[in-house]
Amino acid sequence: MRWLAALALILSPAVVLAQNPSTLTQINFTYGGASEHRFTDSACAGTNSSLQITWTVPQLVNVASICTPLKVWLTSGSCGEDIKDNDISLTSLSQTDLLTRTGFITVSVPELPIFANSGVDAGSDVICGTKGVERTAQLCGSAKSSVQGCLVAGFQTTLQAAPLKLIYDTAPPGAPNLEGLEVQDSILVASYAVATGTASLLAQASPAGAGAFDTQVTDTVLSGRVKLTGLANNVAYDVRLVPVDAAGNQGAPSGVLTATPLRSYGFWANYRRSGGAEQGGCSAATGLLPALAGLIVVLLSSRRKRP
Amino acid sequence: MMVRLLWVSVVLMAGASAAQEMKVEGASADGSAGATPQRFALEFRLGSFTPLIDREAALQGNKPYEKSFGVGAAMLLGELELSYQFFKAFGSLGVGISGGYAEKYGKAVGADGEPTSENTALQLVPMRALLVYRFDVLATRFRVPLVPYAKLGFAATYFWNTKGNVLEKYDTVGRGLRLGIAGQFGLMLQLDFLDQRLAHDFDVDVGVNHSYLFGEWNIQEVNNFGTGGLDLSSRHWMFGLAFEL
Repeated sequence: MRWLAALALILSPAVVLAQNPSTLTQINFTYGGASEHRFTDSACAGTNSSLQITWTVPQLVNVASICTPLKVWLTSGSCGEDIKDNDISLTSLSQTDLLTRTGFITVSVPELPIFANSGVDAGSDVICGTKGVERTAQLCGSAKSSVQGCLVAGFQTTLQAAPLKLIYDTAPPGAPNLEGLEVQDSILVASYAVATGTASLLAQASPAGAGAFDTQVTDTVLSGRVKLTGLANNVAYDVRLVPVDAAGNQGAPSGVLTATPLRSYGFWANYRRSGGAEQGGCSAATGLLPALAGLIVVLLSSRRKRP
Repeated sequence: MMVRLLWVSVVLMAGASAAQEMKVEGASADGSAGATPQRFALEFRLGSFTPLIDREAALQGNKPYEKSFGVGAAMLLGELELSYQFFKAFGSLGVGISGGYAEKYGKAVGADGEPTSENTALQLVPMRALLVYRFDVLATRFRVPLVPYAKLGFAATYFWNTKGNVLEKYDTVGRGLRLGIAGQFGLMLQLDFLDQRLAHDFDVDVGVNHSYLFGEWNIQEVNNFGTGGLDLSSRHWMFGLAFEL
């Protein structure tokens, strides 16, 4: 029996770790509620250059089992269990800090370790402001913990926080392929295929040859079809699509196709054009619906009174 | 042809059932032992329905319904009806209300009359308030599980028309309410004979006294009592399932 108890003691941290892979039982770093944040070179200076990152300790995490302060650092590689050379140490959160369950860490964008001018060797010549690149830094955290109590030597394991990916993305998405235009009444429907990395499309129209492209619709669904409405019938329009990625980079526009919206007639228009006398509206029957509603009430109340 | 076959099969089933021994353990001779009170009927029915829109005199032979949806295009109609039986002697008399939904999609046409890529739809919500008579004497007294019935009453149909999934407007907006009168004449096949014990349990446990399959002929004049405008009248068959509660 004694060996069984010892085995249980040895296995218990492993069991706890096995139960803790989800973010519900992990310390989390998030920006804007997400575990990934993409930004462009507009974050290299000005008010966007500091990122306020939220750390959260879920209620399922027992802070008393965390034995050392939570070290927080930035890396251009993978997080691992501890800070490495060329990583940038940011701060450490004590057990007292962690008991508050949430707080903020401020990160300076130009000092991320993905940039050559950050003070650490990023292994590249990318600086904050370089165009056409995508680099990923991670905000990491780890502490020692033990479910047996911090004074029991030999049973401490590493508790890793769920990292936050900070992605410097100035690489624009590829141009979409504008495959066709469908003509409708005051509407043109563009069908398309997008390149990888496209998060939304700007569908733009302009009277043929004008080149202004001042009628614009944003398509975030990317279903393969986007509708440009409110166009004038019998006027030819040039249509093009501009891709936008998650960081906000606009790519090169698609090719231009030209089409002319045309008037069409649905059933009601056909009916009226054919001489139909119906004007629509409910004026002839305003009393009937309340009467039907009253009948329903009478029937239902009668049903309830049944013994 | 299909309809005729259906009626023949209904009559054959009824005849076969009448010849059956109807005694069931735990039930009286009329099958009503332990039966719960019966006051209501709930019906669900389906059918196809072609509104007589194109017969409107003002259209002068033009056929906008046919032009939009095709020749003889029928709408699929589903309806629910609840009735209260207030008088039971030689048959039952009740009042009921029903509501349903029907729709038909087609293609809008261009100025040249050719179909375009845009959809157009006519959607209807037919409602009725009806007086219902069921001649259930054959079933209750003579064990013939057939119940002829007739319903007469007022009809109101709310309609709306869309093009490209938005309400269509052509000098006026394509929606409104049309009133009229309606009659339904049908025959119900009482299903209790299939399994008397199950029918009895269904009554005692759930309160469903009888279950029926039915077919009915619908005649409705929904054209604001002949005053003109959109004519949503029709002649059509409906088939469904009914429960007396």
